[in-house]
Amino acid sequence: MTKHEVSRESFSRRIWRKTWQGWGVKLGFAWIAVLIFAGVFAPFLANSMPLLMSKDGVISAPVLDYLTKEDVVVLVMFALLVILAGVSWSVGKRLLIFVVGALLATLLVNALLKPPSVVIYDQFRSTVYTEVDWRVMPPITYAPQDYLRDFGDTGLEAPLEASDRTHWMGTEENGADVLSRMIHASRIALSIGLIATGIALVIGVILGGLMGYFSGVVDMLGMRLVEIFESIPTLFLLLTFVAFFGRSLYMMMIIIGVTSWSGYARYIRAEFLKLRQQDYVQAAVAGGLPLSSILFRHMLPNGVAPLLVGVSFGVASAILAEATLSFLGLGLVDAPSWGQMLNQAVKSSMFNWWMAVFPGGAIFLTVFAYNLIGEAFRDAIDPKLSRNAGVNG
Amino acid sequence: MQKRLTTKDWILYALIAVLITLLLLVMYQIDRQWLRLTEMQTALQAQAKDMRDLRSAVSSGTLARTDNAATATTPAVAAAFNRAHAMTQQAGYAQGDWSVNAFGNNLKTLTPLVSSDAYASDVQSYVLESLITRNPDTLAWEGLIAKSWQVSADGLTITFQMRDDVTFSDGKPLTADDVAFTFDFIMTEAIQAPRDRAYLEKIASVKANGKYEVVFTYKEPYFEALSLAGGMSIFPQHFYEPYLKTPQAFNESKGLLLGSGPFQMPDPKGWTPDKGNVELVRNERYWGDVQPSYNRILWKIIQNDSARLTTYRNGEIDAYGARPKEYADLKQDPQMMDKSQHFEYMPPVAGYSYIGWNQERGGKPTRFADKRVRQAMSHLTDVQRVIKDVFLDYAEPAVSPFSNTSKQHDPALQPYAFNLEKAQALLKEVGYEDRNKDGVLEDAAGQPFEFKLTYFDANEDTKRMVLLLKDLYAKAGVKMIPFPQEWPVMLESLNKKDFDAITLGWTSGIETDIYQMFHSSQAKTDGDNTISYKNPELDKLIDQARATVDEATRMPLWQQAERIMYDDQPYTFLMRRKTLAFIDKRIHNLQMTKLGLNRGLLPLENYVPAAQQKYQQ
Repeated sequence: MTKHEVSRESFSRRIWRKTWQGWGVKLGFAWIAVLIFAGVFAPFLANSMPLLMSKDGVISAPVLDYLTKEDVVVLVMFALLVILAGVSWSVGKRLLIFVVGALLATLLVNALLKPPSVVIYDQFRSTVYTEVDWRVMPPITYAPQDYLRDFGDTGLEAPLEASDRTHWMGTEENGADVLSRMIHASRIALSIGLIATGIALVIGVILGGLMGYFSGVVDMLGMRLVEIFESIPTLFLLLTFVAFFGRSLYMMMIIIGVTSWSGYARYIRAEFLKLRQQDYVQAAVAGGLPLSSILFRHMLPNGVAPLLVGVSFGVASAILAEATLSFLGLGLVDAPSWGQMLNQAVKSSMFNWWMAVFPGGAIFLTVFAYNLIGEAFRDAIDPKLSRNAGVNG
Repeated sequence: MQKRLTTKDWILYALIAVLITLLLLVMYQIDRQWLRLTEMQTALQAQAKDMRDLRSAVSSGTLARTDNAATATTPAVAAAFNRAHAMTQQAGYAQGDWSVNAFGNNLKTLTPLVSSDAYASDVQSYVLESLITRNPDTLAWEGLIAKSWQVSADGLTITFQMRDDVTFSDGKPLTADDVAFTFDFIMTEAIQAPRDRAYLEKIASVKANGKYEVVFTYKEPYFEALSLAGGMSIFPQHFYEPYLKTPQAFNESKGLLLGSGPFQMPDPKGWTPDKGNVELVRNERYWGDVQPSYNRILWKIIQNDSARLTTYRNGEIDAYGARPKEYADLKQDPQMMDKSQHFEYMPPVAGYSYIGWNQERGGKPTRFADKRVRQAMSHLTDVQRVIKDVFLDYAEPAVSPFSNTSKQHDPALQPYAFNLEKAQALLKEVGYEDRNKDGVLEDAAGQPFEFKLTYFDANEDTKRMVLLLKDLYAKAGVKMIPFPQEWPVMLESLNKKDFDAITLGWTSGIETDIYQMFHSSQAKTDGDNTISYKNPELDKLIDQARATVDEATRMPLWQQAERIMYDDQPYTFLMRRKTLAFIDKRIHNLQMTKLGLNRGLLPLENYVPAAQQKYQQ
C-alpha cells in the first residue's frame, strides 16, 4: 500500500489547505474580497467630489477634506491588516497589535480629525469644482447621500434612463445613485456581520469555555443562561430597541452580538468537555498554570475548529438581520443599506426592478458566500467527510 | 399477512370521503339557512311591531288627520334633503348595491364618545344624526332633525323646534328629551368623553321645552355656539341611559351604536373589533324624506398600501386615495383609468402640515424661543420646492392655520419665500456664526446649531420631505438630524414636550379655532400647545374672537391674530395637500361641493344604476 507518512503541517494549516480546495469556497472568498475592497475604498470609488484637481496651478484633493472619521479608521485598519499579513509573528501577537492599533487609530481620529459636519453636494457641480485645469473624478461621480438636489426630482429612474446623467443602476426613491449606495452599503453589511459576530464570539468562547472546563454546577447554570438567551427573539428585541432608542448601527451590532452568542457557547462547551480529561490538559493543571493559560493557551486552539463553521454562518445571519430591519423601514434613515434599498422595490404600486435585482443580488451573494465558506470549513474539519486528512495521507 | 389496498378498499375510502364531504356541505347549508332564518325573524318582528303601532295609531284616530294634512300640503322635501332628492329624479337612479370602503387600521371601538379615531367617527356619521347640518353648496346651516331655530339677541340662548316624525332605527320616536339626555350623558364625569366635554362645557344647560322643542343655554358668548349645539349627535335615551349606572361597561364597550341615521348596525350592541370589517345595513324605518340608495355600507380593514391598491384594482373596494407620485403614475395606467373616475381637489377643510419649533424644554427656553431663529428657519424651508419635488404640485403652501379661501385669512399675507441671505442675516443677528469652520453655525457659547426633526416613520412622503429639508438647511450651516419615530412613541414625546422640532399636521374646519394649539393656557401637560408657544397679545385676540358671535367683527380679529402668528412663526406652516382619489365608475352622481367631493356626505347623494349593481342582498 502507500507508505506511511507523517504530515509536518500544523492543524490550522491543514484545515486551511483543505478548505481552500473547492471552487465554491474560492468564489465565496473572491466575493468577500470584492466587498472588502468596495467597503474600504468606498469614498474613492463613489463620491461627488474630485479625487484630485488642479485649479490655477494649485493641486488639491477635495476627497481627503471630506473623509469622515469612519473612513479614516477603516483605511487605517486595512493598512494594519496588510502590514501584519506580511510579517511573520505569532497569530496572538498580530491580533493584539491589530486590536491595539485599531483602538489607537479610533482615539486619535476622534481627537484630531474635524471633518465638515454638513456636506452640500450641489457645490461640487458648481464652477468652483468644474472649471479647473484638470481633475480626476472617482469612477462613480455621485456620493451615496447626494440626492442630486440641483437636478430637481430624480427619484426612481431606471438604469441609464436619464440622458444628462449616468446611473448604471438607476436612482433610488430620493434620487441618489444606486450603484454608489451599493458600494457604500457593503461597508455596513461587512461591519455588522464581523462586529456582531465578534461580540458574540468573545462572549460565547469565554462562557462556553468556563462551562466546559468546570462542568458540574457551573455548566448547569451556564446552560440555563444559554437557554434563556436562546429564547429571546432577536428581531423583536431589535424592533423594540429601535422604537425606543432611535436608530443606530452600533446599537444593532451590539444587540445582535449579545443575543447570538449562545450557539458558540454550546460548541465550545462541548469541545471543552471532551478536552478537559485529556492528558495535556491534566498536565497543564498539574503544572500549576493559571486558569486563563489553561483555557485559552492550551485548550482553545484545539477546540476552536468547529467555531469557524458557526462564525461564517453567524456573519451571514447578522447581515440578514440588518437587511430585514432596513427592509421593514426601521434601519438607518439615509445611510445606504441593501435592505433599505430592497424596501423601495415595490413603491407607488410600480415594480422598480433595479431596486430589487441589485441590492437583493448583493444580499444573496454575500450570504451565499459566507455559507459556502462555512460549509467548506465544516467539510475540512469533519474527519468523516475529509478522506484525505493529513495524517493518513 | 401484509395488508394491501385492494380496489374494494379504494371504493370504500372514496365512499367515506364523499359522505364526509356531503355531511360538511349539509352542515354549511343548514348554518346558512339558520342565519337567514334569524334575519327573517328579526325583520318580521320589526314589521309586526310597526303594524301594532300603526293599528294603535289608526284606532286612536291620530293617523287620519296627519294623513290628510300630508296629502293636502305638497310632498315637500326638507331643505337638507334637496340635493338627495334631486339625485332620485335622475334618469338612471336605482336603489340597491353596497358601498365598500377600506380602513388602513384596526378599529378599537365603535362606541361614540369613547372612540377617538377618524375611522370610527366615519362609521358613526352614518348612524347618528344631529339637529342641523351644513348645506354643501352654500355652507349655511340647514335643519335636519330641527325644523327651525332662534338665537337670542345676546347669543346665549338657542331654541330648536324639532320635527315630530323622527324615529330611531329601533322604531322609538326621537324627542327633545333625547337631546337633553345626550348633553347630560356627555357631561357625566364617569363617562369617558373628556374631549367632547371640553367643548360642551361652554353650555350651561339643555332643557326640553315640550316634546319637540329644546333650549340650549350658554354660560358665555361663543362664536361657534350654533354649530356646537346643533352639531351634537343625538343619542337615544332608552338605549344609552342604562349605562349611566354602569359607566365602566360603557367606557370599555366596543360597539354600542344606535341612532336615527339612514343606516344601522345589524346588531347595535354586538360589534367587536375581532370581527375586523364593519358593516352597516339600511335602516328600514328611516324617517328622512329621501331614502338612502345603498343597501349596505361595508368597511374592510386593509393595512398595507399596495394591498389596498390591488383590492381596488380587483374591484373589491370602491375608492382608493393615492399618494402624489402614485397618482401621477396611476393616471397613465389604462386598466386603472378604465374602471375609475379620478378626482384631485383641495377640500375646504383640508388640514395643514407644519414644522413645530419647541420653545421650551425641561423648563429652559430652547434656541427656537427666539423669534428671529424661527423666522430664519421659515425662510430656509423652501415650501415651493417641497411641493414641487415631493408632492408633485398636488398641494398649496399654507400661510397660517387659516385656509387661503377662508374669511379668517388676510389675503395680503404671502407665504415665507425661500431666502438664504435673509435667513443667514437673521441667524447672524442672533449670534450664530461658523466659528470653527466645520460648515455648521455655532452660537456664542460654541454650541453647534444642530437639532433633531421628529417625524412619523410610516409616511414615505414626509420622509422624503425631511431629507430634502436637511439638504436645504445644510446650505445655511444648520445641521438637521432626521429622527423617525413610531406613532405611540411620538405621541409620548409630544405629551412630554420632549423634542427639538416636529413635523405633523392639523385638520381644520370651515372656520378654524386656534385656541387649542396656540393659546398659552394650552401649553400645560397634555395640552395641544406642545411647543410651549406663549404670546399674551395673541391670547387676548383668541379669547376675544371666540367670544364674538358677530361674524363681521370676528373676522378682523382672526386676521389680526393671523398677522401675529405670521410674524412669530411658532410653526413653519408648510402646505395643504390635495385629495387624490380614484373612485369606481359604477358610483354615480359624484359632484364637487364646497365641502369637497360629495361621496359619503349625508344625506347620501350617490347611487349605482341598476345595470351596474354588483351586490344583490
